[in-house]
Amino acid sequence: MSGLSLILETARRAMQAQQTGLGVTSHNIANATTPGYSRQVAGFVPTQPLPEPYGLLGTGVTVASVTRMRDQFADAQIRDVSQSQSRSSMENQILSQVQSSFNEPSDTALSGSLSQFFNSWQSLSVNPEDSSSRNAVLQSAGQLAQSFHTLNGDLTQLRSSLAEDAAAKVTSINTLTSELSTLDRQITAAHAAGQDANDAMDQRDQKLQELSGLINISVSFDTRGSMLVSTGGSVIASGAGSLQLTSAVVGNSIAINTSLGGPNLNVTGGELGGVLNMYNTAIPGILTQLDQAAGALITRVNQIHAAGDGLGTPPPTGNAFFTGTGAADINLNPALQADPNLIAASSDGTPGDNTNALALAGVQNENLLSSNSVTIGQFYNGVVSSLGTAVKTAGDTSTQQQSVLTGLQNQQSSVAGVSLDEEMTNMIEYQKGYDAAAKLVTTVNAMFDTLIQMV
Amino acid sequence: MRITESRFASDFLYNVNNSQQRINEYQNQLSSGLRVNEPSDDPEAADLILRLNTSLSRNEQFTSNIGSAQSMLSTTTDALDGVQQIIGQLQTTMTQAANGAQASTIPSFADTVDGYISQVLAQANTQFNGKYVFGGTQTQTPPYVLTPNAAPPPSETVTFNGNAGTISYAVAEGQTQQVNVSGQEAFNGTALLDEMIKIRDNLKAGIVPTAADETAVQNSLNTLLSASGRAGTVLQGLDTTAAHLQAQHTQLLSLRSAQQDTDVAAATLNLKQEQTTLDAALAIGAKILPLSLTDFLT
Repeated sequence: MSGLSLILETARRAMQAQQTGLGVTSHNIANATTPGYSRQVAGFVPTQPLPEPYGLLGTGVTVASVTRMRDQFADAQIRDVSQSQSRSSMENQILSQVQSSFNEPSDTALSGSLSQFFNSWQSLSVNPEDSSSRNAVLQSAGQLAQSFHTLNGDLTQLRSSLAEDAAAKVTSINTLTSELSTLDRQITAAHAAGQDANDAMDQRDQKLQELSGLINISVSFDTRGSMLVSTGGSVIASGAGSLQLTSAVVGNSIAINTSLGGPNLNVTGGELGGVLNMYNTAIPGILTQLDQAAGALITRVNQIHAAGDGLGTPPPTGNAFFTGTGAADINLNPALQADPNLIAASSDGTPGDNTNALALAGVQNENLLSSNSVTIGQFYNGVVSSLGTAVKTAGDTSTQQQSVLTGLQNQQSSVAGVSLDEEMTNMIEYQKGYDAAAKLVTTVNAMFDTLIQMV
Repeated sequence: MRITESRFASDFLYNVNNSQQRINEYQNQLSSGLRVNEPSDDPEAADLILRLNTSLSRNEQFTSNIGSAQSMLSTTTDALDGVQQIIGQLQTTMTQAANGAQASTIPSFADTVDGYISQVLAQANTQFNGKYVFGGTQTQTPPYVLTPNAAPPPSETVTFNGNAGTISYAVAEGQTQQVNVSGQEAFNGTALLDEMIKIRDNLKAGIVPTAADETAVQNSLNTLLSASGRAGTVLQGLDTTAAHLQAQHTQLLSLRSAQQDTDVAAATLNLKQEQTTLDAALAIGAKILPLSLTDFLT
């Protein structure tokens, strides 16, 4: 008698287990396209057997656990690559904007204005007495100053928009870290109560990945599965809570700090790392180089110009051609604008002498920059081509790391991804298992009937 | 390795996206006609293009300078040729006056010489583009001025307001060329006009030109010829330089084109190939993506 009841109980357990399995399958199918979802597997284990004189008698099956399939190692690698990938991609984006501001190679950009400026001095050297040649010099000099202003203005504008960008990213980071610590508390609590927290863990992994796209983080887990997220040596999120980051423009650079104060965080990765590198280093570098080019031009042109003579009796001399010291404030001397005869084309005061105009045209070929090794034009070309290289390198790095990232994501998806074919197969398996167990119940029922009729 | 539906989808999107990016790139190249639209397209080429642009712009400026130099020198040689002819006529007149002219007719030669003097004066004060070509660097004042002398002889004083200054234009990289001939050089300062005034004054007074006068005029002619010859040589040299610049211009343009312009044939071919690839990817994707076991379960 106890034998038949045992079989009935075994069949009941089987039906329940297959039903749970089907439940897990349906959860998987439902979440097949949910980002960050890891497929779950029902862990079937045999129940405790009964000791009988002839040996151990099996008592059926139970679902001991529902486990999520996840490659933790791939996750860690994805976070690492994602930090540098998103940084390169961000830098590529910003540098492309810088490059667009330069608008090279083109006749209308700064390189063209520079050539035009020196050519106008040559034209003046051909007709030093001519007022239209003098006006052409003024016009081209004004154009050149304007080119410097526009470029300098565009880059400064772009840079200040990056400060806002950094603040917005810090806000996203703060939101993520506070969500992460909430999730971590839920997971730890569930684990402490002996429950699975698969979906919360998926969300945590997903948010960690998002966070690694924004800032460089290192993540560790303790034995209870609780996380510790730190950046630049400071813990910014854990089950205990999250530390809010702040972004502020201090002096000439953006500083990222925590609400606790102390030394600034060393942010090297993620989109925030890219923005910081552009704001703190790359764009100021380019602006400095533009200032150097404009400064060298102003100094040298003024030096030669002041030594020459304009048109008049006595010939006016000692006038500066440009005012200002850099790309932002280079301007034509207003006195010259008002009286083109002050332009000093002559060296000896005679109206037909063009020696000074030739000397000024010759500034184009003078090595004035980089320890007197390159001309202003070459220096500027160097700025443009190294900018081009930087854009290309950042783009290439970003593409290359994107493909590494894709590889890692594929690796993760081969473990964690939901395959509908597989789920369908599982569904059939569970369905057949359920059918078979139900058949067993019918059979045992018939046996009970037989037994009862014997009485 | 387990392959999941999302892997199919993400791989498919990744590849299609890459393909579309390349198509976009080729289309940009073809529609702009430029292979290098931005420095990042090819930083090395961009650097070269910028340098070639500068060289081209300088080359064009040099060509324009040479044009002005040629005009200036042509004006100069034309004026010198004119003066040379007048000196020839003066010499004939001097010979006629010296050989067998009636004493009573000699003063009439003075009027002829007077005409020559104003012609030479006009040529010596020739202007080109608003500047006096024989004034050295004093281009804004007439270089030669005749003023009546209060205490003759001579009846008129010649003043040279110019100087011996040279005007040079930049005509090629590192090369400047003197483009003016000063009155100092061409007419020996005031010597030619002084001599002509002396001859005229003498003729007026009935004195025929002497052998010394003839020598002086001949010397002036020689000076003029050598100045004119130098200007002619410079003109020829400029023709050579201009031809050289023109050849260089063509060369620079073709170099820039090689760096900057789209190879239309190659780009078109690439575009076609890429389009074929994309078509295939889309067709296959549309066939495979919707398939799963569910399609076969009944």
